[in-house]
Amino acid sequence: MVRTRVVIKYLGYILLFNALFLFISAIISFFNKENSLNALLFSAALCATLGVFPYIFVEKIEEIRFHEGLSISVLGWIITCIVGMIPYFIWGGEFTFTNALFESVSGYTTTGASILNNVEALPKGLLFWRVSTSFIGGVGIILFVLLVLPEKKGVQSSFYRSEVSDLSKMSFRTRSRHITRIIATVYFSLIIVETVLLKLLGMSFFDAVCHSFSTIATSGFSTKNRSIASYDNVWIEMVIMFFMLISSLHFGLVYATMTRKKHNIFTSRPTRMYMFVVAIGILLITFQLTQEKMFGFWESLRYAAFQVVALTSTTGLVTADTSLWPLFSIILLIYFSFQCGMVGSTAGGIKFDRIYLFFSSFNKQLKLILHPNGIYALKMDKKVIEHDLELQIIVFIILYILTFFTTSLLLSAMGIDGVTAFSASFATIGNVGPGFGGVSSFGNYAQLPDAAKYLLSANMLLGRLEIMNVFALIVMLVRKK
Amino acid sequence: MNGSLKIKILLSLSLLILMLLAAGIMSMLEFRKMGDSVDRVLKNNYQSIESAKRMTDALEREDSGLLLWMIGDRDSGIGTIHRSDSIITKAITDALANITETNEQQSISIIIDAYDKYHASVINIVEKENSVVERKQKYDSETQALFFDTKEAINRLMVLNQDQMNRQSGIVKEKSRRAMMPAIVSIAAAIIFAILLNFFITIYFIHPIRKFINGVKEYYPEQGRLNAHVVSKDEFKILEDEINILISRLLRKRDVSNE
Repeated sequence: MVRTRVVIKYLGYILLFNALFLFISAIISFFNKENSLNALLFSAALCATLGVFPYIFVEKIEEIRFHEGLSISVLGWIITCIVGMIPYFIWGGEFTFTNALFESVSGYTTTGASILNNVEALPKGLLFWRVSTSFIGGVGIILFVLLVLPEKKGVQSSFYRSEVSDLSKMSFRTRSRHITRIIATVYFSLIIVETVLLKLLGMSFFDAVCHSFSTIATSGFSTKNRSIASYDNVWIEMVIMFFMLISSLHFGLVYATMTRKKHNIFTSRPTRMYMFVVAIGILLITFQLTQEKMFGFWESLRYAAFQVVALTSTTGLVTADTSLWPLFSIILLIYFSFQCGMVGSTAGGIKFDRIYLFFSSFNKQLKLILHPNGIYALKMDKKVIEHDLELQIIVFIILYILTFFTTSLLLSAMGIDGVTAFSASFATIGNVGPGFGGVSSFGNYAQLPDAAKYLLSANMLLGRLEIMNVFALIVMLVRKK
Repeated sequence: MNGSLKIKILLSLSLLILMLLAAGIMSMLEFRKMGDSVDRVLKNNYQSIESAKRMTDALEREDSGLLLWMIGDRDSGIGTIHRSDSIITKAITDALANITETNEQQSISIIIDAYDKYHASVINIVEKENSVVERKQKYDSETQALFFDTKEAINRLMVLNQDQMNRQSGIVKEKSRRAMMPAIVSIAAAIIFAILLNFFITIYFIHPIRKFINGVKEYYPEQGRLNAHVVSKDEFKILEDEINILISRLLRKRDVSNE
C-alpha cells in the first residue's frame, strides 16, 4: 500500500531542489537588473514554501516501498513540470499558460522544443532557468534528489527500479547505491570541461554554461535564435558535437573509460555498433549533400555530422536548415530521431541498445525456426539477456510506435499538416526537439493550436518516463480504487 | 519533524502567512509598475497632447486676432495676437520640457520654425501701413499658408504622442495581465496548501483521535496495552504512552488487590 504522506514528503524534496535553481536564476536576474527578478523570486519562494510544508508533519522515513518509489518518480516529473512553468507564466511575453507549460515540460524532459519566436528577448535570469530545467531533467530530478538524501534502507533501490531501466543497469557494473555517484561524476565533469572549452573558443561565460547544460543534458535549448548556427564557428561546433556524442553514450561506460576500466566504450560491442551506424549516417548524408551540390564536401561533412549527432543524441541543436535537404537525407535524419542514443545516457527515444537487441532477438527467432530444439541465448556484451527483459524491450518498442502513431493521428485531426504532425510526434516522444515541416530546425512550436501543445507535452513526458512507468502508475491507481 | 502539535500548527500557519505575504508583495510590486506606466502615459504623452492642443487653440485665436485687426478692430485684434503669442510660446516651452519620445524634439523644432514664420508674417501685416487690399493679398498669399503649415506641424506632434499613448496602453494592458498572474498562481498554491493541510490534519490529528476512540471501545484488560498505534512523535504519542502506563498501574493495583 502506498503511504501518501511519504510520497508527499519526497515531492517536497523535489520542490525544494527546484527552488534552489529558481533562487540561482533570481540572483542572475538581480545582478543583470532584469524585469524577471520578481517572477523568479516569487516562484522560488512559492516552491520553497510548498516544499518545506510536508517536512513539518511527516516523520522520518526509514524505508520506501517500490510502489511509493514509482509514484514519487512519475508524480515528481509531473509536479516539477508544473512548477517549472510558474516563472514563465508570471513573466509574460510570449508565455501564455499553455506555452509556459510546453516550455517547462520541454526543458525538464530535455526535448528542447520551444514556443519562443525570439529567444534572445528573454532576460538572462529566465534563460538560465530555461537551461536549468534541462540540467535538472538531464539525469532526472529523482536521481538529483538522491544525491543529497542520506542513504536509507530501500530508498535508493526503490527509486532505481522506477527511474533507471533494467537494460541500463546492466552496464553499470556496480551496486545501485554507487550509480548516482557515477552518473553525477560523469555529468558534472562533462559540463565543466565543455564550459571551459566553449569559453576558450570565444563564447561568453553565460552562453558557455547554458550551452554546456543544454548539450550534456541533450536538451538543445540555446540562448540564440539561430542556435549554434549564429556562432558560425567550426571549432565550437566540433566541441559541442563531441560532447553531444559522449552524452548519448551510457554514463557507466563513459565513467569506466575515464577510470580506465576494462569494460568501456571501446570494448562494448553495442557502443561500437552505435558509433559505426552514426558514422555511416554522416557519410551517406555528406555524399548526398555534396552530390546535390548543396555544399562543398567539407561543408557537407560539417553540417551532416553536426545534424546527425544532434538528432541521434536527441540534443537538437542546429547549424543548418535540414528541412531544405534532399529527401533521402531527411529520411536518414528521421531514422536517427527514432533510434536515438544509448540507454544509461541523457538521450531520449527508443535507444540504440533496444534496436540492437531487437535485431538480435529477431536473429534468435530465425535460428529457432530453423532449429526448433536449439537453445539460444540473447546476449549483450557477454551478458545473457533474460527472457522477461527481451519481452520488455519488444513491448516497449511496440508501445513507442503506437504512441507515436496515435499522436500523429490526433495532431492530423486537429488540422495540422501531415509532415508537421508526423515530425512533431517523433520529435517530442523521442525528446529530440526539432522536426520537419512547421517544426523544422529553425522553426518552433508556437503556431500549433493549444490542444496540440498539451498533447505534445504529454508525449514528451511519456517519452522521458519511457511510457511503461506512466502506465504502471495508472494501473496502480485504478487497482487501488 | 518531531515537534509538538503547537509547533506544527504554528509552522503551517507561518508558511501560509509567508506565502500570502509573498503573493501580496509581488502583486503590489506589479501594480506599482503598472501605476508607473499609467503615470508615464499621463505625464509624458498626455501633457504633450495638451500642450499641442493649447498651441492649436492659441494659433487659431491669433489668426482670429489678425482678422479682427484687418477688419478695423485694431486694439482688440492686437491684444488677441499678443495674448495668443505668449500662450503658444508657453506651450512650446512646456512641450520642450517634456520631450520623451524619439523625434519629438525634431517635431517641436519644426513647430517653432513654422510658428516663427507665421508670427513674423502676422506682425508684418500689423506693423506695415499697407492698404486693405494689400493686406488681404498678403494674408491670402502668405499668412494663411503659414498658418496651415504651423497647424499641420502641431498636429504631427499630437499624432506622435497619441500613437505612443496607444502603444503604452497596450503595454499597460500587458502589465495588468502580469499583475494578475501572481494572484492566480497564489490562489492555486493556496488551494493546494489547503488540501495538503487538510490531509495532514486528517492524518496527524483526526486519525490518532479515532484510533484512541477505537482503542478504548475495543479495549479488554487481558490485552494489557491500548493499541492506538500512533506513528507521530508528538503529544498524541505521549498520550498513548501515558495511557499505557496508567493501564499497567491499574492492572498492577488490581493484581495486588486480588492477591
